Amino acid sequence: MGWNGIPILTLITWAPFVGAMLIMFTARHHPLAVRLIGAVTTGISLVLSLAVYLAYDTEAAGFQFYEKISLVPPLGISYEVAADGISLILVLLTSIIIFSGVFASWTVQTRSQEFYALLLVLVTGVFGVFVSLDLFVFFLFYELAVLPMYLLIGIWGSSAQVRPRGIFGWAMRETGVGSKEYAAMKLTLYLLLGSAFILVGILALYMAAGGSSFSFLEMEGAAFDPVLQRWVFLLFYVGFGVLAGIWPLHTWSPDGHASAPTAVSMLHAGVLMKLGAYGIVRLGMKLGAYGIVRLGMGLLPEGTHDWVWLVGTIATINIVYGALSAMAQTDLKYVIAYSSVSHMGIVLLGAATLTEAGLNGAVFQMFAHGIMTGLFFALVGLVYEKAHSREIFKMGGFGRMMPGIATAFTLGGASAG
Amino acid sequence: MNAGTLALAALGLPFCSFVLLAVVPPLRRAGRVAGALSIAAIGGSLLASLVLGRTLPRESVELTWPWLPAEGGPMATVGILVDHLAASMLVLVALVSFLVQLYSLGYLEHETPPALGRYYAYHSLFAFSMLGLVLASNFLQMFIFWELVGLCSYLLIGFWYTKPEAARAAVKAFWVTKAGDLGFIIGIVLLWGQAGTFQFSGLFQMAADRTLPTAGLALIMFLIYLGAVGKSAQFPLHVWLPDAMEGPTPVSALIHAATMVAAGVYLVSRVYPLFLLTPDVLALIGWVGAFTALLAATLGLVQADIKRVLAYSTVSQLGFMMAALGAGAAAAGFFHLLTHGLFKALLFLGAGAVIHAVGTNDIWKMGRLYRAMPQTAIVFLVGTLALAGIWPFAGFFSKDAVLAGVWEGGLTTPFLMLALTVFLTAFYMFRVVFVVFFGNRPAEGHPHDVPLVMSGPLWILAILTLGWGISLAASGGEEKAHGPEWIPWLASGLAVAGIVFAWLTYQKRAVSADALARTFRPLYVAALSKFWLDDLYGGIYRGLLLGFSRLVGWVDRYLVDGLVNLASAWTLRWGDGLRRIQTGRAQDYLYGVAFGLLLVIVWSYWR
Repeated sequence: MGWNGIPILTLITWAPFVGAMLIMFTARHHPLAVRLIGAVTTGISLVLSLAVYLAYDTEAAGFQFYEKISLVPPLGISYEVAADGISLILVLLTSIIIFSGVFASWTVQTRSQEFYALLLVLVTGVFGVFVSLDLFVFFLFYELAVLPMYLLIGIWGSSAQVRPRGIFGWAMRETGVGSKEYAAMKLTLYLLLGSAFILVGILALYMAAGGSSFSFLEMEGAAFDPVLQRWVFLLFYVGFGVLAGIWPLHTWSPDGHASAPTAVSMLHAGVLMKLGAYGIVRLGMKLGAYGIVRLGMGLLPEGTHDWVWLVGTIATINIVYGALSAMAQTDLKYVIAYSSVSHMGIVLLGAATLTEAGLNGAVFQMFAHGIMTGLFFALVGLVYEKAHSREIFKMGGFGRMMPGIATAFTLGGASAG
Repeated sequence: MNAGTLALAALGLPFCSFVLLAVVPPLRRAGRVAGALSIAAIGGSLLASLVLGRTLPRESVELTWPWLPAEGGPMATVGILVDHLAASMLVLVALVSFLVQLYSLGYLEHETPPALGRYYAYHSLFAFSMLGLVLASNFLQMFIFWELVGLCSYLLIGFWYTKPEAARAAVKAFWVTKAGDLGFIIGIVLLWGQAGTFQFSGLFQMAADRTLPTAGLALIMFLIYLGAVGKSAQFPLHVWLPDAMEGPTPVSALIHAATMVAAGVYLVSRVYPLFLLTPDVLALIGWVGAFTALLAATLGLVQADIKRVLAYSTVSQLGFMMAALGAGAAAAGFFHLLTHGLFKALLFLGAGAVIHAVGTNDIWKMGRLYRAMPQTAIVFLVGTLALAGIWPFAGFFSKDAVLAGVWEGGLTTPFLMLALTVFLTAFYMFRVVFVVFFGNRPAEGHPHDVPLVMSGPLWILAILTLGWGISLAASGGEEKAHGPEWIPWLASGLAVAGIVFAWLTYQKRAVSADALARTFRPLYVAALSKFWLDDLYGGIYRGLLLGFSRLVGWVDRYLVDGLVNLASAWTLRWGDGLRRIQTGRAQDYLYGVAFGLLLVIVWSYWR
């Protein structure tokens, strides 16, 4: 169980949740205590994920730090967590981003205890997705990661300037485009649409595998019918793809990123979009068929193989289209948001090569992009606090006035380039 | 120590210095201390490279470590490759870096300590990247260092980032070279697709065994050459180099004269066995090189900024090197790279001394400086004579070798262009010399000669330029050139003619410069507006790229997202419509129930 008897992945996952509970029940009206609880609990996750990262046996590879508790035996649902090379990196990324995010939100004034509680709950969801092996629990965590977003953006977000124009101008006016409520609702509807696809996919696999277990490891042993695989892969691709920002289902992401408060933007672009790519890689692609048995991942080798052209094509569109759109933006947050769309294309293109090198590149890109986007959004938050604007053409001379921010931004840019 | 260890030491020292300066802020903010650390590190590199150059075995030394894992062995490796080419380049880079960093202590004495520390941090990073580029043993690694030197160039051009021109020039340099790098990386990947390796030694082996697939190789090598076009400022991507002069003068001396801009030439020399398989691409390189040389020389004629004159002369000399490579005389091209690195660094540092003393770049505000700055005048004259190609300065021998190589390579028209360039080079360089150091009007202010920390590097470079030339002359000097007897005479004659003409025009005033400008009016106007290339690129950028991105941005916001909003607006409308049947009045609902009941009854009867 766990690592030397310590359920380490459980600790990483649930520490922020405990923090959220502590905040709600003990730290009401003590803003400093709220922040300290947040910092300590996410700090625990950070330290432990570093430990997991270092303790992971790269020679043995595969899933390690395995824990299992049966939840609903008749349906084969259990709390089953483990980490392999991919989830390891992403867990580390998540803990770095949330730990910095806690400090990036230090100046949140309105209802800070609810803000921090929701943020921490959300992070528990993210950690849970990355470590769960039971698809049912995986899905629960996934929903947990998506729902607090609505409140975080809708309450603490900021509105952007979008002028309704073009032939759909009336529709945009009617939906209230640009406001934070609009962004929050759009994001939630989109992501829930995605989860509907995912749920159908998971249930289809569950039934096809005999209806006795939701465990990833057992499903991995089952050989699914190629036709089923083809359809289920498509379901997963669309469902997770929404979260990964695949074109043309990406438009929630710039609006969402731009409206979200700093820490949420960081988490959102840095980690949440990776959830989508992770889902596609983990549940969809089976690389074992193409030479990497030891990674032991993916359930749908044939399905992947049939659709990989689509994944690759859309990923390429994402890269170019996202980059061009980013160039056209004048709001700093939109620039970074579109660059995320572009970078997620790179991740999916790497995965779509179905080679070890491509997958390694994709995972590394997820980590690098997560860190750098997190940095960008944190910096934009700081800039906004000082300049009260995000319009790039109203800015200038930051190198003289805020050399630290300018340097960090240049570093991020160098990383992106 | 063996060659591999020495090379790694030369590479590692500047890196350690950079890391220390980057992560220990108090050290960086100490300014001069940071400078001392960086200078010590590059001094160590210089020492290691010198020892390496002396003790290098005949065959090349290669060290590799596996890197990108993939099925069936690593996809790429990291490593170093030391042969005579790399070792010579290593010495040049370390030497010029060392001297420039030393000189900067004097040149940037008025900077604040944190700015000075930042400057030296960048310099250490640059030294590391450039040495890494030189030592790279495969294309992928070379590309990484290639980009790193580009980044350093960006950072150092924009060192005075509060000056808008400097910030703009930095971005321009970055983007224009990136345009070439795009071809470079595509070429690398395509080559990998063909050959299955990034490794130079493996590729050379394949080239020697004739096992390298030749289909599409010309395109691949052309794409790789594009990287060199950007970096080495070949036509039509030369536009960034003159603007890069906005950076501090020592930076121009190091990066934009001696080392980084020569990286393109080094790249072509490095993978010359591959270029030899594609004679068409080589011929193109030769033609473009010669054309660049001539074009840049005409541009150099009309500049009033002393650094811009030198910048165009750098572009022009890089054209010489490329022309030699294209004509098949790789050794001559590389030889010119080495000598040019020395005397062009000398010229830039000399110009820096002048700028430091006078406080302006405009040659028309200078004059008679040989009185106030005799030392600078002498070393600048040494550099100019070397650049003009006068015996027995080092430049004479390398230029002669290039001309002979191009003639032997059968590129007659490029040869003529280069010969004309020799004349123009002597003319525009001595124009600067006569106007700045002699002339009739004294300069404004009270110029003075530079302190030892600046004059020392100048003298070292001057002595090397002259000493190398003399040693070549003493040893016969003709070992590098195999061309006909008349070429050195022709080149010297043209250079002397250029000098005399410049003397007549700018010293004696026997020939009016205005009259010259009138005679060659179309050319003069075109050169003044840089042949409108900058405007063309500006138009392309604004019109095509920005226009296209705006279009995509608009499509995304108003069509793709518009459709999303359309769906949502329709949902809202339908919902609103359906809401109206819920009136809240009980009798309406009763009517509904009754009507439904009626329908059910009718339906069950009909059935």
